[in-house]
Amino acid sequence: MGRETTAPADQTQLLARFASGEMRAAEALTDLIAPRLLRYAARMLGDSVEAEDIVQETMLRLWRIAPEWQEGQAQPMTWAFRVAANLCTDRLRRRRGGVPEMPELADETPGMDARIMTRARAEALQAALMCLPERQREAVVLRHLEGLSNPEIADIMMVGVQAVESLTARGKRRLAHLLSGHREELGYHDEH
Amino acid sequence: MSIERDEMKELENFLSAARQEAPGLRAGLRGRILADALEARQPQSEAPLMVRFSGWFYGWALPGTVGGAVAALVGFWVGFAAPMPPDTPFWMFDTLAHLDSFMLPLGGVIDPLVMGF
Repeated sequence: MGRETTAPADQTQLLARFASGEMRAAEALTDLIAPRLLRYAARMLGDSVEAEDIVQETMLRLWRIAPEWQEGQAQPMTWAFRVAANLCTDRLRRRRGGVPEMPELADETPGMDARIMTRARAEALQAALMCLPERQREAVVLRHLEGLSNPEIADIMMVGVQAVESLTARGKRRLAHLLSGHREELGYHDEH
Repeated sequence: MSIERDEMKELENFLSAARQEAPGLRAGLRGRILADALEARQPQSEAPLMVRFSGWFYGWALPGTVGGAVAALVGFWVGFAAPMPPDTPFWMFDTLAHLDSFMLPLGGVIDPLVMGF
C-alpha cells in the first residue's frame, strides 16, 4: 500500500510549474496522479474503458484549474480523487443495473498458475466490491487498495474521519462475508 | 470470533491479489492526458467578432436589451414630454422647471418650446 507517495507541497509546486508553462511538470503530475486515479476508477466502475475516460476528464479539469490554484487549497491529488469520485458516481447513476466487467489487468506476474490464481482472486474481489454500497466501496478501495490515510479519504469523501472508519469497517466485513463462499475454489483450503 | 479472523485474513489475501493485478496507465492514455495538458496551456485564441457577438442572437440577451432600451425611452418621454394633469401640485411644476433649467441645456436644448411643449 501507500504507493507513489509524494510530499503534498511537491504536487502543488508541480501544478504551479505547469501553470507557468512547464510541460515536464505535467508529465510528472500525470505519472503521479493518473495511475492511482485509474486504479480507483476501475475498481469503482468495474470497467477499464470508462475508468480511462474518468481519468482523462479529471486530469483535463486539473490542467484547466491550474492557473487559478491557490496554496491553501486541497492537495492536487486529493482534489483529483474528489473529482474522479463525483464522475464515477455520475456514471454509476446513469448506468443503473449494467453488468460490471473486470478491468483489463497488467500482465506481469511470473508463473502461469500463480498468475491465473492471482487474477481469479482479483476478479472475485472485484465482483464482491461491486456488490458493496457505493460509499463503502469508495472507502475500501481508497483505504485498502490505494493506501490512503483516513484523513485523506475523509477529505476526498467530504465526511469525518470516524465516518470513514465506519464505512471501511462495514465494507470490509461485508467483503469478507461475500468472499468466504469462494475460498475453496480460489485455493484457500490449503492455506489454513 | 476465530471464523471472522479467518475471513479477514482471507480478505487480506484477496486485497493483495487485487493490488498485484491493478491496471496500469497505458501509453495511449498518458499521451491523451498530456495532449490535453498542452492544449490547456496554450492561450485561447480570440474568436472572430461575429462569433463573439453571435451569442446575442440566442436566449434572452437581445430581447432583454431591447426591453431595457424601450423602457429608457418611455421613461425619457414621461420625464420630459408627458403632459401634466391639471391637478398636478405647484411644487412638482416648480421642481420639474428647476430640473429642466439645467438638464435641458445638457441635452443641447436651449428653448424647451422647440421640443413642442
